[in-house]
Amino acid sequence: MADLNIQTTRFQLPGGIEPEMHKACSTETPLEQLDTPKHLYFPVHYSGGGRGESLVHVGQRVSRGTPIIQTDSGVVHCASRGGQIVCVEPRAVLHASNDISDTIVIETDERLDQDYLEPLSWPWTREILIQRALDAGIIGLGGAGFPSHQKWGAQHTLVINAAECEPYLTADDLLMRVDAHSIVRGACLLARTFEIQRIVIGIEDNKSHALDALTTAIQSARSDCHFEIVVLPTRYPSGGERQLIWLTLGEEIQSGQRPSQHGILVHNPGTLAALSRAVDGKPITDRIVTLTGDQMRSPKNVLAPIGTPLTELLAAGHTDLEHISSLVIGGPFMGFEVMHHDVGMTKTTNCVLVRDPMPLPIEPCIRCGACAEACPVNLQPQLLLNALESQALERASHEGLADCIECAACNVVCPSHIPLAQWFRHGRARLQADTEAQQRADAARLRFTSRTERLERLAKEQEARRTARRAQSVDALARVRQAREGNPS
Amino acid sequence: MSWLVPIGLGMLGLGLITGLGAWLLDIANRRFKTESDPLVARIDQELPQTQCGQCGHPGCHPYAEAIAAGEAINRCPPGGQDTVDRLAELLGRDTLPLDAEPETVGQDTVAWIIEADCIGCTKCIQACPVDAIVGAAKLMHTVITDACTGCDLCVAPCPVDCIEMIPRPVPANRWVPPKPSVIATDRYPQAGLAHG
Repeated sequence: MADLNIQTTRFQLPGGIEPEMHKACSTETPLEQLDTPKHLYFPVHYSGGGRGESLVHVGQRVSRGTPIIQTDSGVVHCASRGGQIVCVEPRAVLHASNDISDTIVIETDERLDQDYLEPLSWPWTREILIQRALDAGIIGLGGAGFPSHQKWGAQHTLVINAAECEPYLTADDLLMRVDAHSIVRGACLLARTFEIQRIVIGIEDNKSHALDALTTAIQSARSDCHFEIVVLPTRYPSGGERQLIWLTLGEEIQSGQRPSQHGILVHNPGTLAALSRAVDGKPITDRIVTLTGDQMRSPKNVLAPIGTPLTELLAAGHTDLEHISSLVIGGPFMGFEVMHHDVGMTKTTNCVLVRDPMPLPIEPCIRCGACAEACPVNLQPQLLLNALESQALERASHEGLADCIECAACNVVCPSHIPLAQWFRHGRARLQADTEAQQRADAARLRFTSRTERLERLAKEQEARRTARRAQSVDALARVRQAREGNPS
Repeated sequence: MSWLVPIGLGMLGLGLITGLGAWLLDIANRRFKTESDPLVARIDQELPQTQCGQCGHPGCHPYAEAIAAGEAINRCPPGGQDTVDRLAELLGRDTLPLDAEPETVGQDTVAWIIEADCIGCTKCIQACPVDAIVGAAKLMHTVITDACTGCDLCVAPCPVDCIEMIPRPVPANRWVPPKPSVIATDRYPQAGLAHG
């Protein structure tokens, strides 16, 4: 039986907001398994884990669990259901950029065959677990889709991010209610493999059912891991990585540092549950998606195969495209609006939010400072906005643009309805792109200089050889002449 | 006159210390002397390092030297108007409109060898200013995409036209979201009208 200690946080979130949560509507009905749709879509590039390459060809039959995409980071994405690959064609992807990517289309069939991995048995090494995470396609299921294995290393504390602080989202809540055992097991085996001493779960106080389920699961776990649960007040954005670390451990991660430098590893519960299943040989093939919003006729959570088209998800919520005014993937603050609807969901699709966005007119900034009070990282959003509006990226960077977590708390409190967070997303991406361009330029300068030096050196060497040869021939000629003069015949 | 002795000694001591200091400074000056002109380095820092030669010089550093010697600052198409403006600010000169064909400005491309057509002549390898092409005689060549600056100097020497310039591949997380529109009426016509 695992050891457990529950407490309320002693720390307070700087800034933050308390919006209406709208969570109850989607948690009233039990989790529903979605039927296998006719077609599944797997974008080669935007499935998470970087740019990818297709491992299959048109006409091939795949089973549930067959590897179909190999990405740059080593993560392999698997088919979520069996069927025929009918085509690999460019299609829109489920990403904020609404970009186009080659997409593998699977036409599913009735056969329920599986192509799973061999279950692992303890003891295994770190390398084996990392390889398993790659083969099972494990990426962060919280939203960013960062390959999980890249975070693992020399850490002493695992923080499980069960805050789910954004309104409307309940996918993690439901996962904890129905499958707390997998989460606890995933955490234990990760802790055992990487010698993590401390496991802390941060959970908001509006998830009492999930808290009960976690408590039961921890108490019945056959492991000697020590768990701590820290209950947080419901306040957005307590689930931000740095915010959660502050609230649970009281440790501040400074600007420019990463939690791993402090020996802290943060994971979403979904990722740990997926890891637990991966050890049993099952790659990620399904995930829980919240179907919600004021225009969703029957809001609920569904367990859907990865690659399910959005239209099928809407149909599961008894809603069709004609009756919705905007479709957002993710929550109302951090999510993004999608333009194309015949698109497959990915591993990071946690919520389909359909509602009337009720746009309000944007007015000039009145310098009220409400955004600065709401900012959880103590920035001055009004100054950042001013800098970005006047194209002064350097000034914005000096004001701490890189530390913005894009939580959009400032948007919510702004009386002039200025889309501050959109400005910051734009600015941060520009900053990143500029930094990379500068790095590329520096590398190019280095290559150019060393090439120029090499060419000069080669030319000099050639010249030296030529001079030597000439001297030699002059020498030889002189000797011949001398010899002739010496014995005239 | 014996009171003059300590003063004389003191002056001698001060003189020695000053001399020693001067000697040290002289050594430091010789030891850490910078070969290159710091102004050229700062101009070079502003140039995009494509080494494309569109300015008429064989690379960015030679152009930086020419600018320092008084040449016009508007001859770098890959840098675009931004670079011209920054150079004007750095040098305290008046800014100029960019001297380039509009279609050559601000394109981020990389070279791509159609490997099936490559005959292995090594001409592109010799043309590349940043050693971004690998290959050997009579063997297929390929471009190191990360090191390619998109200068397109390899395209013309290719005898079989197997090099294409393609847009630089951008990873998904490097997408730059657009700026939000500043004017309310652009985004929400009805709301804007109702308001004013």
